[in-house]
Parts: sequence; C-alpha cells; structure tokens
Amino acid sequence: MSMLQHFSISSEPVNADAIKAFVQEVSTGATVIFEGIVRPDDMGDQEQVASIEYEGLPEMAIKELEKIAVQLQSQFEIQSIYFHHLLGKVAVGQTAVWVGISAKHRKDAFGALDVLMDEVKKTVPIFKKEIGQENSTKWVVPTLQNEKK
Amino acid sequence: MAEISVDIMAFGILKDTLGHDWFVWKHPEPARVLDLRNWLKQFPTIHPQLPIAVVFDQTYQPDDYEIKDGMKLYLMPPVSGG
Repeated sequence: MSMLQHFSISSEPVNADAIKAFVQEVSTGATVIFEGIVRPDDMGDQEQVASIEYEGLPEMAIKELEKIAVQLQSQFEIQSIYFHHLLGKVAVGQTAVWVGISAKHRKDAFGALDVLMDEVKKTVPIFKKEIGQENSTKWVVPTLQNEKK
Repeated sequence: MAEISVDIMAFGILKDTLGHDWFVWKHPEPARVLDLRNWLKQFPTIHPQLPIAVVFDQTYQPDDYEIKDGMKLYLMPPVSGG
C-alpha cells in the first residue's frame, strides 16, 4: 500500500497547519500532529538550557528517514507521514521537530509516531548541543555522561 | 607501500574533541574503517567509550569496509536529534 510522505531537514520552521493539511490529503480516520519542543533542562551548576543548536547531514538524514518509513509501513497501517527537523539554534519553548501521521485508526497513528521518534534517535544523523543561560555548552551524547564545556 | 589520503569531516562532540571539523587522514594501503577507529584512540580527548560511526556515501560503514584514496568520510558520535 502506498503512503504519502514528506521528510525535510532545514533551518526554516514549518507551520503546523500545513502539516495537518498534508497528512489529511488522504482520507483518514486519525491524525496525530506532534511537536518536539526545547526544554529548559538543568545543565548542572545551577545553569539551565537556554537553547539547543542542531547540526546534521540533511541528505543522509532523509535517506535514514525513508528507511524508517519502510519499517513503519511494515508495522502499522499508516496513510501519510510528515517529518521536519530544524537545524541551527532553537530557543527554549520553540519547536525543533514536527511530525504528522495519518492512519485509519488511532492506535496505528500513535504507535507509528512513537516508533518513528525512537528510531530517529538511533540512526538519523542530527546532533545537538545545549547552550546555557550563561553560554556554557554541552554536546548531548546519549551513550555517555556529558561533561560541561 | 602506497598510501591513501582521505578528507574526513567530524560531527557533534567529535568536532570539538578533535579540535577541527575537517582534517586529512593518511594511512598505508589497505586501510579499513577499523584502522581509522584505532587511529582515533590516540586522542585522549575522545572518550574511550564513545561509539563512533564512520559514514561514506551516506551509509554507515562496518569495520571491515575498505577506505580508498580520495574518499570523503564523515565521523559521527551517537545521534541526538528529536
């Protein structure tokens, strides 16, 4: 079964209404729109994250996202998927990643969203650096305990 | 013995720990991804437990992948998008 899909990585934010319009181009029973927002996490030494700077390899990222989409299609009955990730500096409270998924049924839409985000954090070449209120920086490395720079 | 020379771009924390994002790596032929990984062990600034992926042609390459002269490679720490 074919699926409508859009993957993009850039320094330009997108409009959530445009995502909704995209995923609802197909007749659907459930639409899930997700926004990943930068949190004011604790960086230690009483400093909080003020922004996150993202860098990555967009062409390869899209290739990896296409592989994930194939996996999602084998696991869930989804009709469309939209994914956009920002590169560059994103302030606390602002959206860094947008996802839209449509499916006939809610469980497939939510399930696919959950797996998609898990897989993005395994293979899609995007890297983030936390920037604190006092301008300390710390690369986020999931497998290591990070050290403040 | 012939030597290969490749351009390498580092991402994320590797860029900071190596001190630059681009560098040239030279190694006698044959050179494999494992040779590059072993070469990186000489840098005390790189955490010994840091997994490092080597990418060529937008694909993660295994340890036995042969690196050829003139290639452009990417060194990547674990991804952290989303």
